[in-house]
Amino acid sequence: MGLTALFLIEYFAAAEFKAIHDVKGELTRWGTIVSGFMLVFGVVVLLRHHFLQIAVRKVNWKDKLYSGVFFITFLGFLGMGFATPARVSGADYQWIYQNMYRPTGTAITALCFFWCIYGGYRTFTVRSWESAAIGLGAVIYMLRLLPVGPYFIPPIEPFGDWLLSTINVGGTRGGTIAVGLGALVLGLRTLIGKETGMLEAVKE
Amino acid sequence: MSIGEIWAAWLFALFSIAILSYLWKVNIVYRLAEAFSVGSLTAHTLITTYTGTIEGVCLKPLITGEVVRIVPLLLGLLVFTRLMRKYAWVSRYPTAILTGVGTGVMFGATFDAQVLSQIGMTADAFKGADILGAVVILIGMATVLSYFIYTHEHKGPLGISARIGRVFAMFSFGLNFAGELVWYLTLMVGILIAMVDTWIKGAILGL
Amino acid sequence: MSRSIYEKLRKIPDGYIGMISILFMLIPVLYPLGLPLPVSAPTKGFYQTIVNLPPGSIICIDSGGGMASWSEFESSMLAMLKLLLSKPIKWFSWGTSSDGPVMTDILLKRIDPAKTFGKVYGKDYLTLGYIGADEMTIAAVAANTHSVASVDFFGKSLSQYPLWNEVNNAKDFALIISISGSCTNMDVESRQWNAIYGKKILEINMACCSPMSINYFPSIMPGGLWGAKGGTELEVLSGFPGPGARLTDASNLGLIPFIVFLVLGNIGYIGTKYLMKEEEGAKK
Repeated sequence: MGLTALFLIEYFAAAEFKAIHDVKGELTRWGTIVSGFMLVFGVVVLLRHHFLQIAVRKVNWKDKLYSGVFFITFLGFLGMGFATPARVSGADYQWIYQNMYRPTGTAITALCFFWCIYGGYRTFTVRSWESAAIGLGAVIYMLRLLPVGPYFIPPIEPFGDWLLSTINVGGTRGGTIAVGLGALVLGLRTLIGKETGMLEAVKE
Repeated sequence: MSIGEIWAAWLFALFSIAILSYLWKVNIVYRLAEAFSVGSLTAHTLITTYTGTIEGVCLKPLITGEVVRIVPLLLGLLVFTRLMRKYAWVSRYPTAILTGVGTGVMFGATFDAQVLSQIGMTADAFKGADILGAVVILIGMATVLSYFIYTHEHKGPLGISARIGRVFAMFSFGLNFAGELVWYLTLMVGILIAMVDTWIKGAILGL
Repeated sequence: MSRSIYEKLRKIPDGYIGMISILFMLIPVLYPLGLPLPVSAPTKGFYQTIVNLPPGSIICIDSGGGMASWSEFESSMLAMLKLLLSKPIKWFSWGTSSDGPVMTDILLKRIDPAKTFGKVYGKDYLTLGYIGADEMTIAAVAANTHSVASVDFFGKSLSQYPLWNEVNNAKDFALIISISGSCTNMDVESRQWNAIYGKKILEINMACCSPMSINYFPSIMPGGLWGAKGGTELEVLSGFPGPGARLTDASNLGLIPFIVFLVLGNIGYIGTKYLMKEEEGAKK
């Protein structure tokens, strides 16, 4: 609450009030450092989960195997990363990262292509104005994005650009303003101490 | 191709096929590759976070004399008290600092960046040649905003406006969906190009 | 036509759609089509903004892509880096994601700036590591750049580099380039760079984020590259060929089956609905 108020005062304070700007700068660095520790905390929780899977919980041998593979990979990458002063800038680490992590990460994300087309085939029917709008918008913009669209249907290029910069902007601009106003309300609630969701998540 | 490149091609192909086998059904090969992916990403995130954030922003400045950095270091360590049931309440302090700083950093500029400037750009659109486009943007913006009014029932003029706003929003989601499909398609094609060029043609056929 | 045909059109098995899509993806991979790609206005804006910078300008790049989306970012980042290194401007990059600095480093090793463009690391360009907390870190970099890092991506002290001593805060940056995998990235960037310091921002993002980022074009965001297509367009404009052209060309036919099945599904839906109405009318 106090921090939010301080940042709000700093936003409107003139550049001459150096002390308040310096305090804000230092506090943002504290936020950066604390968030780094929170990320490490998340890793610790994940490690704890997989450790319990292997050592404590009565689960299928396959689940223990997957947790084991997780641990071996984690320790392997950690060892490679910290083994040399170069850390992630080292050529060996980058080779492993490019040729082992990249294909798995890319393929997992690429699988979504299939889920999207299966879902789109079922959902984008002209049963209402809304579903027709989403289907039409998707098809026109898809054809605009790929070279095959403007090549075989030349008007798709200016029409697609016009749709992107008018109808789409109208839609998303309203959403952006709504999100901005919502964020302001959230900030005000934090300022007056009413927003305690994150703190109440910690059960005593 | 060198031995390293051949190894790289085989590893790339094997990991890609392991993950894509999910299209057939969930299987042990897929699950192992998934566990590998999670393990490698977790380790990578830990290394980069420690090196760049904890060491770079906190520990090294602390060692070189910036004593004030001991405060965020202690706050960061207090986060781990969440693992101890008896002392979990202590972790509220770093959480509160993070929430306060995070909210404060975005609060002041939000009205300017996300509200005023958006309205200003809508008005500026009328200065250009495409007046029809500017009118469409204005109608879209106003109707979508009316859709987000939850304090009045969507009936009468507000109901009509909210319905039009919903159609505008759906149109935007359609464009977003198209972009997502192209994103996933690009990744899929990238995998296919790598498998055809480096694995099949390079490593297997030696072309 | 009988109702069963319309119902079959509505219930085509997922496996058929997937397999036909993969076949259509493979065709241009094996036999490139070589179709021309028109250059869009945001890409032209991206290119012109960089080209029009006065010599000696310093650009701040926050690099936040994801390695899993390498295909989306590779062509854009490569073309951008080559363009920046070919001009008499300086830049430094830092990471807003754990993969961003690694991707930048991999591409710089491929380019070899010293050999290709005669650029000196530490004097003309500089790369930092991943510094977490996104918006908070952007605020910290903009207010006092030196306070957020003490070592570069390679673990070496920053004080030895001349370029690091030229950057103190947002006032020293002529332009911001933001590479991100988040569709709300421009909201964050416009809050921290434009609302407070009036800086213009160029964006490199995934194809799905263009509908949301285009809100800020051209006032706050004079240009943007979205997806491999954006990278290909910049390759064409800047004259530095790269992997984008092959990738964009190979993506040409991949969505055609989906569009065809979508149309068939809608024919099936309309046909079923029309036949249902006829049957109900006949019953009455």
